[in-house]
Amino acid sequence: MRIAEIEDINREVLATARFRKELAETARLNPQALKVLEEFIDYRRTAPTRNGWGKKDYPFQNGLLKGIWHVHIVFGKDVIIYDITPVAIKLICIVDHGQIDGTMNKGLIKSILGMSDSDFTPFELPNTSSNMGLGNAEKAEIEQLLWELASDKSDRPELEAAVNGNWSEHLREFILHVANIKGSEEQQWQAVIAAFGGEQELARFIKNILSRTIG
Amino acid sequence: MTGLGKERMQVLREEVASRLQFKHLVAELGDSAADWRGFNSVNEICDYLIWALSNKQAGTWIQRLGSRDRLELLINKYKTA
Repeated sequence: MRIAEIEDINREVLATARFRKELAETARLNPQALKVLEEFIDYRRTAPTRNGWGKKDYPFQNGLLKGIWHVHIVFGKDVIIYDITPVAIKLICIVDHGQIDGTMNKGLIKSILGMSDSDFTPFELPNTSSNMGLGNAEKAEIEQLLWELASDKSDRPELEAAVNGNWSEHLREFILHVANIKGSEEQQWQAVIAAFGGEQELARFIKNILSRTIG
Repeated sequence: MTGLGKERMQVLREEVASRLQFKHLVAELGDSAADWRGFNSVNEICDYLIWALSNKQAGTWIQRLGSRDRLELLINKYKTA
């Protein structure tokens, strides 16, 4: 069996109690951390072990932690230390970048190396975005957004253009931001369009609210 | 229909402006969004680029932009204090 076949699996995600506690604190200070972690886990579940998650993810190159991975949740600030095997992602702890830059604290190294399998339990992220298309709540929020924009003189021209099929980058971004769904930009956009029954229906909806509002 | 509210709209406007800035910076660097996955903001990208410049890891962008100065100008254009 080739390595690629062995690694073609959906890894289990495990975490220590320490990681959970530190994640709660990190997310409190930086709510975006959860979304970054979600994207990271999505990628790491199936990507080959050695293929890091872009510029932020790489193993320690030397020292006692050589081979253990770390990924920046916020570049230069919050760093997750983790291990990855063909079958699991093992989230160990979250440290400040300063703690791993240069000489590392021996206590930290000891606690990382001292982790055993019994310290890890299955981990699930709190929901941060819709997995499947656009939900009713998100659709309602987009509708409300469009009403808001229609009532603002400076935003109406963008809506009027959209009615004619000319979607500005700004309006599209606005809608996708509120939709908060997964996938490529085009997939997200198609999910929005589908939720409104097609592009023409969405344009008709916008035309309708434009006729019922004054900017 | 009730709206999202003035404060929520203000927050959304700022977030959308930030998302667009992010996309524009990535495009100016000649990269794709996937190249910068996991980065939250233009400031975070700028911090990485500053690190890359001082650690001889910025060759790709220097080559694309034509000079180190141009990369620094780009960082200064987007980075906020």
